[in-house]
Amino acid sequence: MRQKTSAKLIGVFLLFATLFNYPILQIWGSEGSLLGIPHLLFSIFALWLAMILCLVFVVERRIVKSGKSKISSQ
Amino acid sequence: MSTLVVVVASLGYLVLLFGVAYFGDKRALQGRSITNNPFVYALSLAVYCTAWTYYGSVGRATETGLEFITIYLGPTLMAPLWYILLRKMIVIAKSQRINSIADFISARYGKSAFLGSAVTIISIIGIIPYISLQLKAVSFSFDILTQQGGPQAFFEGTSFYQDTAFYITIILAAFTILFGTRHLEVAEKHEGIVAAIAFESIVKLVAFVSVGLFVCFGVFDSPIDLFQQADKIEELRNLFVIDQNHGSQPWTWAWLTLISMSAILFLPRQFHVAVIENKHPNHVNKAIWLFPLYLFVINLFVMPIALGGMMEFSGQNVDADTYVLSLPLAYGNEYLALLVFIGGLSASTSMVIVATNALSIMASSNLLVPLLLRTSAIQGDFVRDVSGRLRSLRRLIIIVILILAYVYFISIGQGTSLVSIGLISFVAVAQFIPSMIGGLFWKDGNMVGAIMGLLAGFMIWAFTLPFASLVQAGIIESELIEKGLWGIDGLRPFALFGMEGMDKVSHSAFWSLLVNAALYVIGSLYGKPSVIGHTQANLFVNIYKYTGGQTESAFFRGKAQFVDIRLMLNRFLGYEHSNDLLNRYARNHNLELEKIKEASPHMVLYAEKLLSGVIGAASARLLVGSVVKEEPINLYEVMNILDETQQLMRYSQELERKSEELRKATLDLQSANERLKEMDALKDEFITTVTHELRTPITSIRSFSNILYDNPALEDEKRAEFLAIIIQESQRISRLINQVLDLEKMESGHADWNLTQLDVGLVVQESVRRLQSLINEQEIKLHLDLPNHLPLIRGDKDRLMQVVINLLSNAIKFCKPDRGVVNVRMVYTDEDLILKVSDNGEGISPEVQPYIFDKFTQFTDHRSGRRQGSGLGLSITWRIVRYHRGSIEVESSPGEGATFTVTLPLSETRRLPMKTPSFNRTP
Repeated sequence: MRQKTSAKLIGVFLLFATLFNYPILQIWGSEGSLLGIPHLLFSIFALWLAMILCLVFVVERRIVKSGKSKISSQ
Repeated sequence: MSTLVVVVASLGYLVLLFGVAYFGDKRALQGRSITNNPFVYALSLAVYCTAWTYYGSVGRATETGLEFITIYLGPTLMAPLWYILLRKMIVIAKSQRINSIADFISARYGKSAFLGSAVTIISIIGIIPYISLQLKAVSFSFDILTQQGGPQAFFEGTSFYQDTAFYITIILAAFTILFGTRHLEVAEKHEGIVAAIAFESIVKLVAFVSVGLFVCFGVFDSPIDLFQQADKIEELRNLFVIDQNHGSQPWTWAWLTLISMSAILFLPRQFHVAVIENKHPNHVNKAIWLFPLYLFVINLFVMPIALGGMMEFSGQNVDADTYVLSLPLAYGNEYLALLVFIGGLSASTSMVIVATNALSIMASSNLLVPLLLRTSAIQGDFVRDVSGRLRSLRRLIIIVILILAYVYFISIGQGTSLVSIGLISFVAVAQFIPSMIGGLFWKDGNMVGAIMGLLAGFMIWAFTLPFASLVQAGIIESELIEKGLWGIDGLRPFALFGMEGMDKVSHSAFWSLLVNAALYVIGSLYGKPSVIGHTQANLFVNIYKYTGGQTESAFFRGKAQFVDIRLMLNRFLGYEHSNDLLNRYARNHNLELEKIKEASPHMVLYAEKLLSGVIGAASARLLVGSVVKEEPINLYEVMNILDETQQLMRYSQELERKSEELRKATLDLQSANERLKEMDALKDEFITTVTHELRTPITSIRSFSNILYDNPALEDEKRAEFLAIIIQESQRISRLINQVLDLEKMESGHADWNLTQLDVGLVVQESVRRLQSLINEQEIKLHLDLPNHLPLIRGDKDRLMQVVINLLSNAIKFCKPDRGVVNVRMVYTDEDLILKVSDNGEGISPEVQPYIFDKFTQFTDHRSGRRQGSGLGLSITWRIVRYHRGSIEVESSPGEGATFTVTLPLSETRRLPMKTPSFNRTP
């Protein structure tokens, strides 16, 4: 279980480290705006939020699972 | 706003903060800790957000757009890796009672005092600019709020006692001392500080978000309105464009992300809150997403505030670092401005408190205590309260650090922006990356590599950043920047080895980390670690294997007088506290303190760990070394320990092998038992069979004898017929008995074998001759196919003839009546002589085939329904063939006849003994 969670978290790190850096960064940096907010600002914060959600998903699901298995093993 | 109001508000806030800390400490003492939960832990990590974030981000954003965000993306990206890195660091720090990052590195590389002091010096020099930026932020925000004309005012000829920053420094020093140095044993943690830091994290977040909302909805109609207005100005629009001409350089972006990734783990204050003050490794799990969320929220309004400030103050001389405060003031919102000031104060104070505290722990443990121990200032025989002295030392260090920060601020910090000051510290801290990461995961990383890497990295950093900035600020007169060190072009601080085009920070980070990492690896590969270095490396890298175990004591042979240990603990931990701990230890190990004379290695280690919580691993080692007669573990002893382990492993392997053998033997026994049972059943059957076989002829002999006896006047012809039957039946009995005896002899190995060189062809011909009458009688067509020159073999002629006769007579017996055909064929190869005897009878059913060579297997004659023969013929045949090292096989399918194949290996038979040793009937 631990190993799997580690692997998932490393995966999240690699994915967003790529998305938050050049050259992909340039894709978000074009002129124009989305919902009145400049492209770059909007996409960086959207990605940021997405990353946090990924982390919640990985970490909290692990806790829920391990909590359940504890109960069932008793 | 009047100075009095601001001062009262600030002091009021600080008193409130102290109240929170007091409350936290009290609850901890009652055992109802308020800091023992993941939310407080995540909030305490937010000590990362200092005045740099609070004021500086906005300033940075006005210059380079979104580049400021790398400082927060780095930690966010690092968060998932905490699960591996931070948790491991926490477990190690707990098991080794580590009290700072310097202690961590020193402990990892063999508790090296030199390394500990090197890391301490790097940390202090590296962090001083960072602390100075907090002083700068507090002082300018105070000046702006009280309208004293901004940060430039004290620049022109004012003495230090008129300077706001000076008083702020004093207040912060007093406050930090009050907070941090009440307890001594660091491993017991500062619950109060953590509570206060978490509280401050909430305050600064609320304050900053308030300004953001004020700018978005108070100054402008909505965020959309704000962005639309900004979009009309080209300068502002360009802040959001990343292409060849705008935005931060790819390298800068990546390097800033990397060094902030390292900062979140390795800044002394981050290490302190994340590792030392951690209550449970599992708290990390929630912080993995809570902390990035905090960063996300506090950064949401940086860009709006920056844009709002740029539009509001365009053309005016307002420092962008102050927009957060200037905007509410410009709109006359004084209460919001006060809240902002308090928020900024909380951001600064939290950083200053934790950072100076962490540095003072580091400095006292790694610099001063070893120094004192070396100069034997506290090694005297008389008992003295060293713990009190240590506390004063730490207070002194806090004051010295803050004074240094103040000096840095008034000398160079004023002209530069907050973020550029802070980045200098980040690059310094990034020097810990190789030795920390290597230390956690690479067992071969050793002290030589760590020292080489750290020192080289530090020197490059010092040359390319702080030293160069001194030159740039005009404090050191030199043409260094343009012409390079000693006039060497390759040694220009911003273009080392001629590498131009990078910004200062990335350039410095690149060269220092490259050299640092390279030397770390090279040094580790070529340097030799000490025994203790080896042990510690193993303990760190494989920590999960050892947690809970007592591995360390296996490698530690020190013994000491218990009195000495007790005295030492009394001195450093205080009398009551240390006695409490010793009593607890005695209780846990079923010892009576009064009776202990000599402290065991385990107890000595325990004392060392307690001490290292106060004075660091290296100092504790030195101190314990002074009272312990440690027999340093040498290679021989290590080998012994290893040998013992190996022997143990060998034993267990042996045991495994034996039990495996036992298992096999049991299986063999079982199958043997099965066979015995089968054979027993066969024996029973045999006796029945033999009895039956014997009874039949005996019955007929008896009845015919009776007739002859009762009728003496029987006609001659009849008499002769009856006598012939009696003779025939007697012969049958004796043949049966002979066969049984024969078989018994062969089985027991007592048979006589009369071996000679012989031609099997002749044996076959003679056998056929003997059976000729039978063949003629049954009208059987016999095909004999014998090659002319058969190789001679060594064998027993009579027995081999018995084989051929058995096979032939069986074939004749089971042939089709009237149309019987029997084929006898011999062939030979280089190795074997092969005899095939086949008939065209009923054949042998597949179920019987496996048993036909067993004793007492009889064939049922389908014609008569009677069983034929004694059931011993084929069994004897098989034994004779086996004696000649040959094999016999049968191929048959029902209705197709049967073919018996005897294979006699030529080479094997030659090796048979010429004559059997016993019962030799020599001719």
